[in-house]
Amino acid sequence: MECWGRMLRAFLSGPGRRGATWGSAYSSWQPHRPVPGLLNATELVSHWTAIFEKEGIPEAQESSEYIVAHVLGAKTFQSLRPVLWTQPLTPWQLQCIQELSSCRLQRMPVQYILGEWDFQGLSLKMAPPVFIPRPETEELVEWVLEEVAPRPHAVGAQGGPLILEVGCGSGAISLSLLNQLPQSRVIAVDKGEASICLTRENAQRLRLQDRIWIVPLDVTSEGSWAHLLSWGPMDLVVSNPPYVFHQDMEQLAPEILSYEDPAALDGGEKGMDIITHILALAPRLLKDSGSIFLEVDPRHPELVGGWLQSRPDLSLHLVAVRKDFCGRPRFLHIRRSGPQRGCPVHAWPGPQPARVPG
Amino acid sequence: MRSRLLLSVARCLWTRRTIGPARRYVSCGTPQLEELFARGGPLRTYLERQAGSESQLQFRGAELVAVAKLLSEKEQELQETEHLLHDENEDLRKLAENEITSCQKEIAQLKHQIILLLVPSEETDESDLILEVTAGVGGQEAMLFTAEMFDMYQQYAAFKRWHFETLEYFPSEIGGLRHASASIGGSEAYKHMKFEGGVHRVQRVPKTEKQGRIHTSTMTVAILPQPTEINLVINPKDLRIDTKRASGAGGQHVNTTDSAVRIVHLPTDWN
Repeated sequence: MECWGRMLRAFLSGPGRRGATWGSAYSSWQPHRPVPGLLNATELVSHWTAIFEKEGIPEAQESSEYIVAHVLGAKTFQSLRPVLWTQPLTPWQLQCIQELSSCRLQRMPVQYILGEWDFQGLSLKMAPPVFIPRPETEELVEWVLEEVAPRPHAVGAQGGPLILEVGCGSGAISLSLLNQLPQSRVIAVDKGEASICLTRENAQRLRLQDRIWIVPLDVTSEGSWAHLLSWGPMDLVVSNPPYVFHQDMEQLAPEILSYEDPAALDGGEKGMDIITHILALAPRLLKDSGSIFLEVDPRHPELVGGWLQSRPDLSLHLVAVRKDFCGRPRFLHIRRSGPQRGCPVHAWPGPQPARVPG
Repeated sequence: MRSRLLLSVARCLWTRRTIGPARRYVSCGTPQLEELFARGGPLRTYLERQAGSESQLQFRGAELVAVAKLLSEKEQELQETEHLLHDENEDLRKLAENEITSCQKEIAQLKHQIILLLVPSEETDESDLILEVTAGVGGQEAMLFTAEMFDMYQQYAAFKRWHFETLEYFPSEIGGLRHASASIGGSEAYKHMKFEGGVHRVQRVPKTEKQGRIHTSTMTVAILPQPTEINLVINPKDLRIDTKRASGAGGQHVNTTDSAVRIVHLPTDWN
């Protein structure tokens, strides 16, 4: 939070005080070689990459490139107009870069430093401590789209599938589904106040606020979900719930531990706490043969399969397990009602399908 | 024009005779050209066939047929005019000579045109292309030269109204260019640029030279066509996918900005 304070002061300081801030910024700076007057973008990237590497900051070059590109108004360093690579930067730009880089030196994730990040082609605002969407989750959205798109949905009040997202965070999953399924409607719930605000803000930025209802809700607290029933039975439940095993939490990188909400990550002893709650309440909210799509830890497909078998009262069965682009089983498709069947596995892209007990 | 009228009247009176042996034409061009267009030869037969057939056999078929027709008309005109060379009237003879000379020139031009039309255009002529320039021998001077060349190509593309997008640009300290690449697209871009590839050389007194000596520097240009459609079938089993996120648990456990994926094509080890 201290880093945000400094950034805020820098941005709020008026022109008269800028000189003073500039001077103090330089005096607290420990350059590795003297700064020879005005640098251009390429030199600045090398400069900061060297500093990050020395301090053991992971992704030294990528971080440096993103920060410099952001200050110069581009999303990536490579997409900057080549002429900008060799032009000297203004003192204001240098100061911004210095401030942002000092945040990076404190292991702030790049996404929080830039304040925005892309997901499924959408630009989303990012703010700590709201969970930063991971690239694997994009594949969850892809899978949902594959399953949903071919089937015309029963026309409700407005038509299109009604989707519930549990743990919306920044709104990444909900908003990409809304964006790519123009007839769909989404109810997004999260127990974090910051997530509710951020999802709302992102929905407004993307002008999708008319088709999304954002509700503060803790699915683990008894009976809290009852009022969701008033929206009617849902076609889909989708979630990237906290699934990190509790004992693995302390091994996470400082970027995650110091800045992201642990409640968005910690899934309890076997990472199953939130997952089991979602699965327990889903049958009461889903239509017949409605689906649940989850992102999970690679150890979960077996655990979830076993757990579902122990709860025949839920009438849920594991339809498919899909692998992420690293070849790990990452996504589950669970369907409501119907007898227990065998569980075929989507192996994508790896050649070895996992066998799921069914 | 009175002389032309006279000539055309005279020609009509001497309309060609269809009977009789084939005449040897007065030479209209180089011996090779004549041989190529010899009566009864394969080229003539082909052109006659093209003229006869209804369908357009290749892209430039119609143009070819038109030019071939023009050629045979001109040759006929020439033949008719030749008779006038033996006329009693001297004026008419002179006119005929002039006419024959200009006719011969036109016939040679038409033959050259036919040959050009016969050369099939490359499939890739219409493609977009990637232009790569690299400074060669000559240090800073070569890099300055490369910068000038890249600039020239950029302006040429603008002149031709092609789309020009710089992909990479690695400048040198004094405003030169080490290496750059650009994507160029537009009408017949590749066709015009394809012969630019190779090593270009400049001999001049460089900006960096203090004593006024001439230096030779080089730069290389590479032109790579970018066809719009490529049909490629890859078996997913031939691919191995390596990712930076591959180690560890991935997912929520990791937050990186680089989710780059490297795909290795196993049979060729190409990635």
